[in-house]
Amino acid sequence: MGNSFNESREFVPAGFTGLSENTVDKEPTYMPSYAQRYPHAVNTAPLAQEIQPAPTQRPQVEKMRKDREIAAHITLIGDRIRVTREQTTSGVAEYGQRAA
Amino acid sequence: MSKFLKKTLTLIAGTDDLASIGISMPRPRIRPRPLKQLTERELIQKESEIGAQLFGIVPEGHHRQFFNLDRNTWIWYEEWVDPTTKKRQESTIRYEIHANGVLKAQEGARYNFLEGQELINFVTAVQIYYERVMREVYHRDPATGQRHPAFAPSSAV
Repeated sequence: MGNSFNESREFVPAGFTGLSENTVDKEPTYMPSYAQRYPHAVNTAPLAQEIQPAPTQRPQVEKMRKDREIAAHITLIGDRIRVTREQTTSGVAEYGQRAA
Repeated sequence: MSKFLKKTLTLIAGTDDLASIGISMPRPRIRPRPLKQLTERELIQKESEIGAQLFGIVPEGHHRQFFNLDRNTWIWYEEWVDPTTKKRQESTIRYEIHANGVLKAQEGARYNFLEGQELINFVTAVQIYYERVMREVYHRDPATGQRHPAFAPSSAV
């Protein structure tokens, strides 16, 4: 479900639609700042999900970190090979090949 | 011996077979070129010969190349003759190193980031490629990149 506008043309983020104004009255102290911004959207469950990543998302974050490390490692190797080639072709290195 | 001299002798002797009349043509002297510079393409070819060995025995009739093209590109190329159709087949895979992973690009606009065992295998192959190429082609210590006496060529490369 996407973002939408309530009857008062106020913006309501996704997952917070369908709540009546009475919800605010019943839980006036819950997340007051958020409730002020989105008075029709006070609901703890979706808010908690939005603030704190679900545990199932953490392995994905860890995988992304490892993939970045691997990419950096391979790039470093590629760069070393490139430098070595350049030094060899420019004569910096004494690479030699004897004729048969 | 120059072509001109050989032609002159042929005209005098009346035959192309100079050896049969006792005239021996000296062989051209091949001067050793111990420090002949190789081009980048030739170096890549030498690297690729090592790269092709990293994934086990290449099946008979197959030709394989695996090499580092530039800083962020690795190439796998394989060609073979299909035993049933007798047609030559070939496959090229390009591995692009991006900041967030290794993108595998194949024919037919197929792209995917490597993951799982395939990614581990690729990283292992790259690491071994680097170690062997630095030792066997460039005679350098892979750890430091410096020339090392232990990796110097004994005679011919």
